[in-house]
Amino acid sequence: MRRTDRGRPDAVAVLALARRLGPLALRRLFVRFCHEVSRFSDGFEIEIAPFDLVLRDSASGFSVTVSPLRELFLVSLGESRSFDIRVSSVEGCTSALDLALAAYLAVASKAAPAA
Amino acid sequence: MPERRSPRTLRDVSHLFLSGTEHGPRAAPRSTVCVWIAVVGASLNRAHCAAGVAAAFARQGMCVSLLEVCRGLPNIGYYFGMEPAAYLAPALDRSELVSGVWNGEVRFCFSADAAAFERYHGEDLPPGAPHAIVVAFSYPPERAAARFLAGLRSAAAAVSDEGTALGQRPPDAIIAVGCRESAGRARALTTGMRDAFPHAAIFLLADDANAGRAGDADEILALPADLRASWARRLPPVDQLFGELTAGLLQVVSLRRRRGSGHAANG
Repeated sequence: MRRTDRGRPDAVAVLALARRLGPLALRRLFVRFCHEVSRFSDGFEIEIAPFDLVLRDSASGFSVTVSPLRELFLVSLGESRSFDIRVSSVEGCTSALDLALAAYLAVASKAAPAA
Repeated sequence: MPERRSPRTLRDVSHLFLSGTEHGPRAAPRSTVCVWIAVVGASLNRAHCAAGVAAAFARQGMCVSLLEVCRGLPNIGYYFGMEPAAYLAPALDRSELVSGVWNGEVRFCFSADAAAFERYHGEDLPPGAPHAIVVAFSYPPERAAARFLAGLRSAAAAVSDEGTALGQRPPDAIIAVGCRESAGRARALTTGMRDAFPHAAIFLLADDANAGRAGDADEILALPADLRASWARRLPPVDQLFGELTAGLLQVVSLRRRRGSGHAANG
């Protein structure tokens, strides 16, 4: 697994992973989703693996795994990956982003601020 | 934990803030205060602060127009309880402009692109009530700062009904919000804003009171450590900080206006 610099995601790596998706509109949603999640906080890092990428906030411990398939991408919240959100449309992306944001804020609100 | 005093209400400071009573309430022009909230870094929740300040102004009897340049989530739509499809629209399309009204007291709109505010024509303001214009954004802006700040002044002018020179409404007060990690940028922000807007009162909210020591802020307030406990709630926060901040801000702005009008009368 390759880890990129802190802050903005490695745009090239994200774009490369997005090419696994067939529809161009879905590629754009994938890139937009990763971009927005990485901007939840300054502390997000992106880890690129062969089949997915993990966006992880070091301060709160929150993470999101995004796995592109051919006609959709899967979003898993947290390390347990107990459930996946299937995204194949704008509506699906909206739901995934809303759930990811709510989950991040819940985790971050409990995390103690850095001393 | 230090005990906090009760915040001053609008009634306590209205004799300073409101003007023109000699003409009678019908003839008095609406008092307007324009406040910018500049949040340094994405680790602090810009929308949470903006919604808290707007709700605090509303609790003090003011009608509020809240504008947010929302590059990065959450945005104010989240805290005003909008549906996901509505509040996430600017995240998926930068030019999207979303607006709404909260509790009949706060009219708000937000977009990822400051230029989009030109399209905003909000609800009519209730007659008579003083007006607070709150403009929230992340600092530094992604592109040319001068053009970005000019866009904010134009956006504030668009929602103001007091008549503005050249379609620009400069801020009366600027609230800079920073954290320990961004202390250097927060100092640069307050210094830069002081140069750009010498007549504006500058407040610094920081989780480390020392963060603004070398800066150019008029007042420094500590961000309570427990403020983030309400981050996930889809409601504006009701922390005492916001009541104290808005009451203090109105008092400072009103005193400056009185001094300014006194100098003008004497000169």
